[in-house]
Amino acid sequence: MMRSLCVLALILTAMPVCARGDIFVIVNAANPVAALSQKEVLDIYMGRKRAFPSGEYVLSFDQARDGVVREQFYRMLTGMSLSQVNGYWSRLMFTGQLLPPQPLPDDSAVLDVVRRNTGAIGYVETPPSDNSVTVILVLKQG
Amino acid sequence: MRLSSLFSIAALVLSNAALAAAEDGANHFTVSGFGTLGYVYSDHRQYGFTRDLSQPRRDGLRERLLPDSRLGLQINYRVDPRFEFAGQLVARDQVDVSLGRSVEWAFAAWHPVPEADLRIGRLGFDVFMLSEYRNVGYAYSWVRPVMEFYSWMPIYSFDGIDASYDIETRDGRWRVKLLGGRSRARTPSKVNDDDYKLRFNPLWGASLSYEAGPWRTKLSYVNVRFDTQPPTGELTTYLETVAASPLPDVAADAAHLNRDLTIAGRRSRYAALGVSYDDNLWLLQAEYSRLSGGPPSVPQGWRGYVSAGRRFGDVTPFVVAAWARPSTGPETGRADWSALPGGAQLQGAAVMAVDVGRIDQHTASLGLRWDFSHTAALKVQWDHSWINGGGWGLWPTANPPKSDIVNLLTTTVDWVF
Repeated sequence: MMRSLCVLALILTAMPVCARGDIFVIVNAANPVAALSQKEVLDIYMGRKRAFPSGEYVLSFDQARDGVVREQFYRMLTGMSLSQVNGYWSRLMFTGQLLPPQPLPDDSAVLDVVRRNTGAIGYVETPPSDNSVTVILVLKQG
Repeated sequence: MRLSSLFSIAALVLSNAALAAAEDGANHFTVSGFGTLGYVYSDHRQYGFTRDLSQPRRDGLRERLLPDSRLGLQINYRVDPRFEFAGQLVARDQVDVSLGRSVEWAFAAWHPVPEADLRIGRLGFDVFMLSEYRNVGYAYSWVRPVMEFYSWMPIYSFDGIDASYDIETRDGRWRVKLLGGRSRARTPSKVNDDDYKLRFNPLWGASLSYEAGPWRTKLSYVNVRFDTQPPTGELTTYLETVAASPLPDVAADAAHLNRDLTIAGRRSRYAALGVSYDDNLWLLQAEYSRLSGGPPSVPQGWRGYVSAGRRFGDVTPFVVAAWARPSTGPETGRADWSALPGGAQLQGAAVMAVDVGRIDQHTASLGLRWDFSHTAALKVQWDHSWINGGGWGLWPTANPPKSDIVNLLTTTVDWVF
């Protein structure tokens, strides 16, 4: 209910009025990477890096395209609004250079796909409760 | 590379897509698209308006709706992180709206190492800041790519191969790119109802770009050889006849004009430098290019623009100043042809045929982009253009009298999906 109110407020005002908590960037537990800097995650999500420092190719995942989590993630990571992020990616993807991170509906879908792919990277709004994924960066609210 | 064979390989691979997707939960197959609905009003009915040289002149409502409106559909299939197929179909107003010409690109890409990119097939022509996204209005602030800089360029894509390599430094990233292949373009003739079919073969180039923080710069070079001669109808025959006449000055002038109209086998060189800055608040971009070599009927000269915008939340007002200056003087007859019956008219027609592509103008633009949703924007732009006499190459008019001013008022809705 809270979320749908937030989404509604977002649509109506186009402003991030519903400040939420931290965001947890996660990778597969088998990935040797233990931590990444904000710049490294930024490079991956902006399509500037195709591989982890270990050399493993990246498979990146987003949350719902117009969702609050995605909005918050990019705001904290890059300072860009969703319009700017979409504009940026339309520049890259419609030139066939790269595909943007694949959008998934929610935390559980992200967790599921990250568990199944060793090269996957995703982000969730609730801290993962088990060790099937590794939190490599926490983006702090505020 | 035959497009059809590329498509059949793609179809074969696509048939495994659903299976692969089920295994790892990731989606390998992506369909996306973009569109623009535009309306342009020109205060100069006589000269008309086209967005670029691939468009025919339209009349009435079609002239206002068609130039800037377009719809694009893109399919990507990622076999694995190293290997990918992609295709893009764009419906836009052009002289030849066939399927073959609407395939903007269709290629296979291979990343042998994360820093390298090797592509083969029909590829976007990546030699300026707007590289391959001229059709994607949502990706830039203006209602259309700056006319002085982009409109004359008939090449949107080419059939061939390109390779790029990224070098990461502490502060930024360098990218070296090489490309080679061939391309075709069709442009309406201004002197008669024919279309010019242009073939560029070979076409090769290189670019070096650098990205660091809010900065992006790109330096590029392209070399093209014109493979075909556009039909000049009976003009060539007449000029050849006059060139064989016993009047030495007139014969020399006719031979000279005939040479200027010959493009087959000749080469042009294009060099460009672009810089852009975007710190999420300010949006600055400038480009400069020079086209040289080839005959005078190719629009040789320099072009450039400076654009500045600032974001106020979802609204981005911007200003642009753009120039296009020819490096060849207007053609003038070098002899008096009046001794020949109909000579003066023939000389005039030949001079006009050489000069009709000359581009000599500058424009000041003022506009506004409003991102009313996360995937759509509304734009309004006013262009005020000064066109110098003999420099009407970007306008669909065969015989403009002299210097003049044209105002364009354009509004577009651009979206991505």
